[in-house]
Amino acid sequence: MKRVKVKFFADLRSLAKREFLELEIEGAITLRELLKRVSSEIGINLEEKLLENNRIKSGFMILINGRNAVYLDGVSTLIEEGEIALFPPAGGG
Amino acid sequence: MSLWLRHEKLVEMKVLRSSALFVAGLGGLGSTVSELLVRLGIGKLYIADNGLVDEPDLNRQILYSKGDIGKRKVDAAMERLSRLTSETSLQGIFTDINDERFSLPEDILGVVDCLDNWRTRFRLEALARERGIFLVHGGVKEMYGQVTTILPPETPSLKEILGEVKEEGTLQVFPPLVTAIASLQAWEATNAILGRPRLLGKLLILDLWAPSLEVVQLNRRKAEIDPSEL
Repeated sequence: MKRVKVKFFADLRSLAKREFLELEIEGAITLRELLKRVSSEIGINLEEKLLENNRIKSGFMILINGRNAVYLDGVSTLIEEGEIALFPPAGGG
Repeated sequence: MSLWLRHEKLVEMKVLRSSALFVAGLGGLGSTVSELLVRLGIGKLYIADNGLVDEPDLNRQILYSKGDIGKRKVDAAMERLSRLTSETSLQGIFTDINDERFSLPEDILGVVDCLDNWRTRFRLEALARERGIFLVHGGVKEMYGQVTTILPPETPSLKEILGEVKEEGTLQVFPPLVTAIASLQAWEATNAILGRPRLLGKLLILDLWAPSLEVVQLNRRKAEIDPSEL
């Protein structure tokens, strides 16, 4: 079993009512499966919030060990361990 | 008495005094960034914007006051900044960075992204990348914002970090958050000038609601991304 730490930022932190969630994973799971597990732990449908037509919605950043999932394999990116950051980048100046 | 007596032991003033930076955007972030860089004693500052001062700007855009409403931001900013210390060479540029005729000045070490839309940010980033100079990015929304320093190939590009961004139009922004993010940009721009950037490959997220300040480690994608893909 390996550990994955999911960190929530900004609105997502208020929604999740916590700064992070730690999960234990056996083998590897996809980002979509991970979001499903996180959703059931925190009682918020994160898939609905962050995904649309099997893609990450624009306006949300999902970093998997410091790399944006959009430039990996999107929702199919395999995760074994490490840190996931969920953040809606701020665009104002 | 020296103008910089109270911070001259903290930064190499000689380097700062001989450096030039370009501040893109003179809204909430650009106002505070420019004022701080002038007060710190930067040698030369280019400031660029294509807008006019409007009443709702006055809650956070610290360079302007009521009498400036309707003026070009660059003009009002030049008036205010030139009164502060008279030690920084200032150049105001009324321009749209998206205009294909626009190019960055030759003598700058880096740019500070104080823009309010992604399209222009990506254009500024492309110009900085062509030059091989650093870009200190800042963005704000409501009570949170982010800061990072971009310098490919050492760091991922803005788009590689943030993914599919969304233009959001007019946002709510809390004035103390805006000046806080701008202060962090001025801090980081100074670090970068002095050759010790602290946010290369790191994304700083400040959230005044939580409250929290966290630094997320970034990594480049395994394969090099073709810039045309971004």
